[in-house]
Amino acid sequence: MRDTDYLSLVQPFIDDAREILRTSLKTRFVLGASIFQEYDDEYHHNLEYTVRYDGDHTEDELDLIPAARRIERRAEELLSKIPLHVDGSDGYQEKLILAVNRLQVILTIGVLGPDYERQISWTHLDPDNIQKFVIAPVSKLESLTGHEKVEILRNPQAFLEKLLVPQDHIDLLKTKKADRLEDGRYEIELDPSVEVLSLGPIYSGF
Amino acid sequence: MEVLRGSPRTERAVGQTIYAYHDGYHHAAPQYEVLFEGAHVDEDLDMVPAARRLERTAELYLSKVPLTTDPGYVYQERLFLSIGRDGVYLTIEWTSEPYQRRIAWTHADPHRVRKSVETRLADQGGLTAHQRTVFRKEPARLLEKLVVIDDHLPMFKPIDAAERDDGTWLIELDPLADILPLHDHLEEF
Repeated sequence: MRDTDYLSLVQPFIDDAREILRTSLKTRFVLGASIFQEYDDEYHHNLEYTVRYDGDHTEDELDLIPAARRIERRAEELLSKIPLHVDGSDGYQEKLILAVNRLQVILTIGVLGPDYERQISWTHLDPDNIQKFVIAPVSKLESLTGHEKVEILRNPQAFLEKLLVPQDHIDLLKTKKADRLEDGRYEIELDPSVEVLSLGPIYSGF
Repeated sequence: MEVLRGSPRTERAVGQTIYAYHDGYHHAAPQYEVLFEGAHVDEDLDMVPAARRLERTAELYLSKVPLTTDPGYVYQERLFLSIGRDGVYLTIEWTSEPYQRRIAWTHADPHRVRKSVETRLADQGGLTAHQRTVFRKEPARLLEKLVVIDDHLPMFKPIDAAERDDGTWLIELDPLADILPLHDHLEEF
């Protein structure tokens, strides 16, 4: 399936989130997230999908908004449509955050453990202009020289090759540019044509 | 009650403990949730502010009722608080055996609280007609077969016992018996 098809499946979540934001002016973000309830020192277990609200509202205010209860009771049904690798038997598990505010939507799939994420975002004003990113930490790349760090920015495709396996994916992840974020991680913007949701596990340590 | 008033097709609001999983020996990760029983659809309840309020405060309130949920302990309990238009009943039952304590009252007469213990004897088939008669007349004798911590026996104060068609025994207790704070009072029967 294409990314746009997956995103259309979670559109009801986004619609409800925007209805909440329209009704509760003090709410800034509606966040859908996958949470593992248990950890056995090796794997995470018992996946649940929850909804959280960031802002200056009180919970009592949200009780008055039908979309709040609707989004909460449908969160699992809708968010589970996004393919997520949750089976811990291969040592790789992912988490999901779908964040909606008044300006934009940000869907993030991160690896539990390493600070590595794939991200798809767009604004409500221009929903067809979808941006896709891979965000990876620099901490694991401390051995890089200054020259190599500059090279990453100039040639993000080469950076990808340092991060991603299986090798088959590298050609799929066409990069546009790389930026260094304030927190030290690198953000690699991908070509919007790259289908990042259906890739499955693309991280194997770096 | 506010949910029931706001959604005429909802018959009961039920708060309950659920255990997220069983590790083969113990139940783990107790959680509290609310279910709504009736002919309504879920969308109806989105329009009732008390429905979401009840769901988000379920754990806060239901966890006030003393319950043995510790997975390190062989004896684990679960809770049901069922609220209908006529009345309320609170049930605490053993997760692995058919044993429960129940407190019930009607909205019309909330001070008239009824308390009971409901159970099934493991050796039910072995009961003689005489034993059954004795148990009905002297429910304390039945309790003695069930309850192992002797200190608790005087607290239960049974006033009546009845055997149901399905083989369970319902022992009605004196309303003054404080049955909620009791833990660890049941072993094998």
